[in-house]
Amino acid sequence: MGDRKGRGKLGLILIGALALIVVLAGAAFLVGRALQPYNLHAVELDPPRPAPDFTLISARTGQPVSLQDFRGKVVLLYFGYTTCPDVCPATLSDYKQVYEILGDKTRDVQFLWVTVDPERDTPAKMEDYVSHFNSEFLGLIPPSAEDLARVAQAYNIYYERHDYGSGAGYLMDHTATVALIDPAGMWRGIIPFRADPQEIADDIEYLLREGR
Amino acid sequence: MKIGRIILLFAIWCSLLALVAACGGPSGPQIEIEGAWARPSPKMAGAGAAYMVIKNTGGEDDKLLSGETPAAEVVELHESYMDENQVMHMRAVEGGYIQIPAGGQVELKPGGYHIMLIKLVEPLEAGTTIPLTLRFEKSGEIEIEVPVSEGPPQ
Repeated sequence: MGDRKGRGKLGLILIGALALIVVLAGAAFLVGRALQPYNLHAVELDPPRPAPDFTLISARTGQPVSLQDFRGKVVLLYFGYTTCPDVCPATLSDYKQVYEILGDKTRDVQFLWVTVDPERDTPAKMEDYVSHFNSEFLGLIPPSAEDLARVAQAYNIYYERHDYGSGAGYLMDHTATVALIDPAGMWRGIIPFRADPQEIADDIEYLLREGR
Repeated sequence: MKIGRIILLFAIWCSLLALVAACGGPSGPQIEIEGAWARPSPKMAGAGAAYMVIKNTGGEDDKLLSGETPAAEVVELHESYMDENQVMHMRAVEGGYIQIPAGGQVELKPGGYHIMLIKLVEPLEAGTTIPLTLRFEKSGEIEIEVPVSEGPPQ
C-alpha cells in the first residue's frame, strides 16, 4: 500500500519536473530570441565606424549643414545628380516608399542627397527634385569641387563625368549605394541599389529601437 | 504537245507557289510591346525615362533603333549598368540599337535599358500618357501610348 503511494508521489514529482523543464526551455528560447542580435539587411560595417562629418550647403535654406546636425536621427546618405533619369529617380522613389512605411517615425530619420554634379545642380533644381519625391528629403550641394571630392572619398563614393555627345549633355557615373548612419553618428551599413524598401525600413526601425 | 508543256509548267508553278506558302508563313520579326510606363518627373528635371517589355514572337531578330515623342526634344536609347564596385554607369546603348531576339523579349527597366526622354517639353505628370513612336529595323514604326505612373502597370 505505502509502496504504491510512494510511486504515485514520485510520478507527480516527475511530471512536475518535466513541466518545469518545458516551461524553462520555452522561456530560455524566448529570451534568447530577444537577445539575439538583429542582422541588418544592409551590408554591415563590421565594426561600425564613426561616420565622417561634412559641411555642405542645404539646397532648401542655402545654409551650411553638417552631419552632426542630425545626431539622434538615422541618416541615409545618397549621392546623385538631377540630370540622372533612371538610377536616381528609382532610388529616390524607393526611399519615398521607405518613408511611407515608416510613417510618424520619419521624424527621427533624414534622407540626404548630395549632388556629384554641382556645376549644373543649382539649389533650386536640387530642391525641386528631392521635394518631388518627399518634402522631408534634403538636397545638399558641396560648396567646391574639393568639398565634393572629400565627402565622396570619405564614404567610398566614386563619381566621374562622361561626355560622349548625349543630348542630355555630360553624364555622371556614380556609386549608387546609400550609407546607413545610426542616431549616435556611427556608420553602420551600406544599402545596395534597389534594396527592398520594407527591409530598409526594418533596418531603420531597428537602429531607432537600439538607440533608445 | 504544246498543251502538255503548258500543263507541266502550270503544275511546276503551282507546286512552287505551295512551297512558298508553306515556308513563308511565320518568317520575319513580330514585335509586341507590353507594360510600358514612364516615371513622373520633377518640374525642373530635364530628362525622364520610359520602360517596357518588347517581345518578338516572330522568327527573325529585330533591332530597336530609335524613338520619338512630342513630350521630349530628344529621345535616346540608354543603358544603366552596375560594375562590381556598385558604381552605376549610364551610356547610350552599344551600337546604337537594342537587339530584340526572335522568340525572345527584352525588358527595359530601372537600372537597365531605358528610353531616355531628354529636354522634356513639360514635366511628366502621373495619370497622363505620352505618345511614343518606336522605330525598328525590320518592323518599322510602332506607335504606343505610355502611361505616366510611379511603377509598371500591375
